[in-house]
Amino acid sequence: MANKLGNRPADTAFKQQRLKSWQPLLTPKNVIPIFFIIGVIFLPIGIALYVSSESVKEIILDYTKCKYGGKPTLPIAAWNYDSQQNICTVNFEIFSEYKKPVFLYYRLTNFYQNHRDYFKSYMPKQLKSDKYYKDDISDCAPLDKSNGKQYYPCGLIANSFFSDEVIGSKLVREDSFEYEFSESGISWSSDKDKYKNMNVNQLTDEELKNLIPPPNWKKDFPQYKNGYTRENFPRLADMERFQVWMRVAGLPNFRKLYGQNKNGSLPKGRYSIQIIDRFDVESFGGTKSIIISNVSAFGGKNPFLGIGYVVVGSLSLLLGIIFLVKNMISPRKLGDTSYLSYKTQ
Amino acid sequence: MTNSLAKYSHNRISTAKYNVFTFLYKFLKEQFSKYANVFFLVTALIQQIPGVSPLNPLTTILPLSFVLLVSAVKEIFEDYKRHMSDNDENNRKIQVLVGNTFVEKKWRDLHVGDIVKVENSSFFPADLILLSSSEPDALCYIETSNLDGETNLKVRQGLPETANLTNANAVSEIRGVLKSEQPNNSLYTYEGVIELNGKELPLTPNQLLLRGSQLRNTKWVYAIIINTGHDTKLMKNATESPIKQTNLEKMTNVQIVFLFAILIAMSLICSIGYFFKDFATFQEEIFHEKLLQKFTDIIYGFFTFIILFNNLIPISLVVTMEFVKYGQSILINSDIEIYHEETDTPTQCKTSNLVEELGQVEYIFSDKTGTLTCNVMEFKMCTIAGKSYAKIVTDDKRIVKGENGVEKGYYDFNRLIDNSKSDATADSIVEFLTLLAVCHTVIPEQNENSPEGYIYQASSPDEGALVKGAATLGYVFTTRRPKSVTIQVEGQEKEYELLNICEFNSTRKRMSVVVRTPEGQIKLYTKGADTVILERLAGNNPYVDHTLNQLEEYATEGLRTLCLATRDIPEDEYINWNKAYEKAATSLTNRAAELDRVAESIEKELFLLGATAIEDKLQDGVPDTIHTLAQANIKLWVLTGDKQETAINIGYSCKLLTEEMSLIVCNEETHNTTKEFISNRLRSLKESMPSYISKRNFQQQTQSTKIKSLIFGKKDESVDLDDIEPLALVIDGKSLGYALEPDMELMFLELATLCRAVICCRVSPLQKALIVKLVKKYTNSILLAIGDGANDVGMIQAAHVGVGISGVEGLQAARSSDFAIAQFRYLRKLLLVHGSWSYHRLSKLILYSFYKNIAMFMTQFWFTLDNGFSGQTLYESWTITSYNVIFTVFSPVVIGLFDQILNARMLDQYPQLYKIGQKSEVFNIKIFWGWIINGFFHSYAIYHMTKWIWHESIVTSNGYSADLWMMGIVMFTIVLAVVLSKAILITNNWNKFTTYATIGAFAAWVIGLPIYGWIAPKLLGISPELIGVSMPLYTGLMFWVSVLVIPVFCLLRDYIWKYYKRFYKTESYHIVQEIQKFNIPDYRPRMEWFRKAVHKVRMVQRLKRNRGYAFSQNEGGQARVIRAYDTTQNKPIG
Repeated sequence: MANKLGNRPADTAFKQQRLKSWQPLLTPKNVIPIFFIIGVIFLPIGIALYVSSESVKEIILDYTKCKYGGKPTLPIAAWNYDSQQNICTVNFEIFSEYKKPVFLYYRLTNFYQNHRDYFKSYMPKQLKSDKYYKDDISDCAPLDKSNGKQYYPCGLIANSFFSDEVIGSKLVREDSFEYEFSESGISWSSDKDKYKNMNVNQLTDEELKNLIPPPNWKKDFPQYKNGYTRENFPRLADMERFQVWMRVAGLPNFRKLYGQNKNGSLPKGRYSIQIIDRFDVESFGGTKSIIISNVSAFGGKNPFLGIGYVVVGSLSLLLGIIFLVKNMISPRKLGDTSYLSYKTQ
Repeated sequence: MTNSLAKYSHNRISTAKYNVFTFLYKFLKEQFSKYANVFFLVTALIQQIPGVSPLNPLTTILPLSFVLLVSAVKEIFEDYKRHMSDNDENNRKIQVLVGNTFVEKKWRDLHVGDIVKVENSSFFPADLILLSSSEPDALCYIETSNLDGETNLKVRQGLPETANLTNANAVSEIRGVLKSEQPNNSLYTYEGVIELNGKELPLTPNQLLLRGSQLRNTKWVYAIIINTGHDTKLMKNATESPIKQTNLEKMTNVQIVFLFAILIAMSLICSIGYFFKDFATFQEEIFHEKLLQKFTDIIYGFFTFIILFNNLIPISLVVTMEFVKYGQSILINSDIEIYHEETDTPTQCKTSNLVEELGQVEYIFSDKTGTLTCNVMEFKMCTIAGKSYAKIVTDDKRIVKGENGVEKGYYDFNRLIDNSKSDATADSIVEFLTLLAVCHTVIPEQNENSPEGYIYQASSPDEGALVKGAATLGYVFTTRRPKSVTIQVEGQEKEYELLNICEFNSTRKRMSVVVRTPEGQIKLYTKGADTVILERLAGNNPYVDHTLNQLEEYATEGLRTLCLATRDIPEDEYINWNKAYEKAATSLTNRAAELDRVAESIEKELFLLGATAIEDKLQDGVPDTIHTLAQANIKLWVLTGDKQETAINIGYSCKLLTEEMSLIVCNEETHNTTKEFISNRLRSLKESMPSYISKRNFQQQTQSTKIKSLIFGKKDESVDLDDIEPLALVIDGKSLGYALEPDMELMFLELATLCRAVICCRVSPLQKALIVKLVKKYTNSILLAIGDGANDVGMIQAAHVGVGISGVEGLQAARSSDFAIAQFRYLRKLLLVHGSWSYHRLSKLILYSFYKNIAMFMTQFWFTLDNGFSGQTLYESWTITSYNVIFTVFSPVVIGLFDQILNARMLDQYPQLYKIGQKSEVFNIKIFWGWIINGFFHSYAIYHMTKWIWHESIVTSNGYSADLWMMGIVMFTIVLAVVLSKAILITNNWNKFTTYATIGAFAAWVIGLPIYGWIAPKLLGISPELIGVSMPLYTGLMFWVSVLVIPVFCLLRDYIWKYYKRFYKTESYHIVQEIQKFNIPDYRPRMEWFRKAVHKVRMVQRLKRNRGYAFSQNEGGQARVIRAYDTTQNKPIG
């Protein structure tokens, strides 16, 4: 008999579509509490985030127009420009102590690091090679080679490396107290594996001659004016600022880490900072700034997150109240069959 | 007879779509006829141009290949099943003459010229010419319902010259040449010549046994093969089954074109932006030299953007849909409630593509015999001499004594037997039963297995039922000889001499025999329609009133009735009459009319004995199913080959017609009268109707209106039939032929769509298909055709959804159908439950698939505005691919396979919910673009909120700022959270798979990312972008806090709207969902039942019009056949 009913489907919950299941229905009994719960959770988080963001200290010094003199805007108290050496000195005041660690950033605006043609112009293998890299580097186009000579490091990203320099990487207080920022430890730990120093001594003279600095490097950095020698050859694995630069920002306004001080807090006082001004931002309508900031558990100063939470939280509370009132005024019975139409024969 | 020429085709048939050689070509051709696939192929090709693609060149070609591969596997699997079913047929066994014995062979090995022996109830393996049979004069009966849908048995007769070849030896001696016409598709003509012993004998359709028909009531036949395999008339008639595309798919395709236009527009904007932005902002300083100089770069840029945005059109949609539909069809196949235990037949979805159309059906076109009815007749009741008898008497119909001592109600059949011996009406009862046993064209065959000891072979099932009924009441018909019949009553044989037979035909509506009783008396026995019998009665007939009352009662129950009457004929009257009869029978012109006239002259002054009631047995649950389908706003049209009376009868018995309905019966003979009839009816109806109905305007669905309706959604031209008086249209085949002509078809359609039920009688298979095509042409409704025979194939193929009845052997319709079910009643669950589920599931799947891709990939567009229109991607290539292939592929699949808007019980209990699908309320233009806009909104909110929070801030506690990939990963995580939560929000029915597909997928991403980012670049050398990104993210709190707030913000809108709709724009399904969830008792169905009971009382008070006469019988020629039989002779064993 069993054989006879060979086509009989199995009577399992899966095949008969009777799997154990739950019907999530939106009813006032669960919707209104959920609104209140979201409100009650999000509002305090938002406030906490906002407070925490406000506790972060940050000062932004836009020195784009330093070379033209004129009156700076706050928080820059004063600036002066040594047009001989292109050094901009910026004076500013720290009104209260910055708890350690303190970070030094530079900020560029309107710089499309995320432009695709820019973005793809680099050669990871060249950066990671400690020998003369013989293979094709056309990925770096248009800055791969010049008259048969190889740019090192090649590509648009490397070429446009931020060339301004904070002299001594330090802030100097009126009383000559110096607060120094160190370059080490500013690049992502994973980035360190991506670079190797060139084994200069292994390079033949010809190979050395074949490696030339990118055009901007030659122009901006005095040490590369006459090309590379065994002495001035760039040690990429040690150049953490270069590594930070190479980690391309996602949006045209961005800040990049320049130095950090983990050892001591930054005391209040009037400081000055000296910047060698080489990097041209005006040709593309951008600005450049120096930022000094410390962090909270959530990172830097960022009011948006807190605001977001407060908005969502209060919106939820509001909706909860609206629906609660509405439900009290005009309640609808669940499963009220009078809503069903029975209009047939 | 030999046939050495091998030019004839073999007897194998193949209905499969592909073979090994044609597969690749046909498959690719079909796949690339879909816009989406062509688009992706082009995209994949563009991606191979160096420098153009912002993504890895393999990111389109791999998923596309995967999609094609899955489709290919599915196609191969489905075609394999067709090959198997062909094999089944090709491997059937048949006896073939080899030398002088019959040997069993497979059908596939048959050749033209082979002589085969076909046994009772088996199918003919090829087109055959009948040589001889077990019956006298090489007669045989065949059933051709598979070919033309007529259930009456037909007679075929071999040539007299071959009729005596009744054993293997004799037939092996046959020598000669058979010349046959070229194979063709005409079922009713045949020309051929057989040359035997030097004599040429013409062959006609009368000798032709076609493949697809079945031998009946005949032990065996010998026949010679003339056409094999694809040359047979059946196969020549087979049309290639059309590829059906569902409305949902068509609409999706059109919307894809629109999305494609949006994509092109976006790409254009961006590439033009690229061109100008570059000149304006990008300095030579950074790019060292101008990268973009040529105008052709715009074209390149354009391609770049096409690739970047191509995922706006979900590549996986087509394959997900096919997979889900296939899965759904498997679930339907394994539904035990629509599995028929008696025949071991499960429901079969043969075209899984069409599952969602099951949820949108508005019209059902149904065959009658074999679909609504079992084609089994049963003698149920009778009234004899003013007393009523029934086979089964229900309690409310038992005999009760009225006030004036008159008995009302029914006696059972046992009482009938008793009464035939002792009651005052005994004489009439004897006459009545004798008439049943004598006046017919049935041929008896002894059989020990049958309770009466005989099997009755009748060309009309009604007659069979009557003779069988008489036998159970003790009047057993035993023997037929050319000139007499013998019956057995209480062990006594009585032989009645058959003097004359006045045949049945549709104008006479009666049949009479003149017999000489064993006592020597001459008697006329007549049975026929009440109308014709009543007008031929003698003056004082005592039982007329009672009989008429009974007839009406039978009719309301949908029973088929016949009146029985008799007359004693004086010897001299008979002698005179017989002369006239002989003269008419031998007249050369107008013989039939002459015979009718003569018969008329003796069929008079009759004495009414009573009436019989036969039940044309319905399939199980038919009335209930029809009622439920009507509640679901599905209109049922019955298209039957039966006569009008029979059809109306069945209409009542299956509750398609109710007493409250006004019948419009159209039975006109000419074009003009038909036109007049229809236009008059239509005009008078329109006057009494709400204006929105009468102003309805049917438009032919030309290509342009079709596209319009696809773009703008379908116009709602359906009529709420509750607003008008209940009507039913009954139309005869002949009138229908005129009504379907171009000048009338619109009027006819308008009239028909105003009716709750339409019955078309005596329609040909071609007309069945034409009606379906007519409705298809002028309405946007989804049509379903259901039938069991080959005559229904045309209509099944023409309808959007074709359903075949399966389970009984040889049902052609099931083979060409899209769905095969064992019983008509299974339609109820198939449509109301599975159809609704499929429709809701697939609608959601499509909407969600578009939404999720737009929510994701529009972020790329917003990003493009922020990167100088350069076409930079925000996400790493393989992450993008994984979005469609891994992380968001399961949630639509789970919704598509498992979501239930309501459980099966609720959908069945509230058939009105079916209207949601009929009116396309879940998937239409408004809703589609609503979802698309929502996708845009979500992507916009996600992108900009993430940007505010992340753009230049320090994101970790060790002072790092975010780079592009980090931002991309954060954005991706948020999109995933939003999209998967949205899936949760639209889930009606949460099971464990929902958990895996949503929460599981999100967890898989969060956990998988660091693992992948660590392994993939190291081991596979891919995705170097992800190196070291996850650690700073996961360790910083920023990431987690952002991933919480942004999705909540985005989905707040969806959540509020969903709740608002449920409580402030409440619809039926909301309420039923609550009834299901909280198990709320609903008394409404019971109230409805009460309402119906009241209604029934009213109904009975109405005038009864119908007396239920119906009879199915071949016209003409029966007398010749039965006169050929002598059942006392032993049949040859063959």
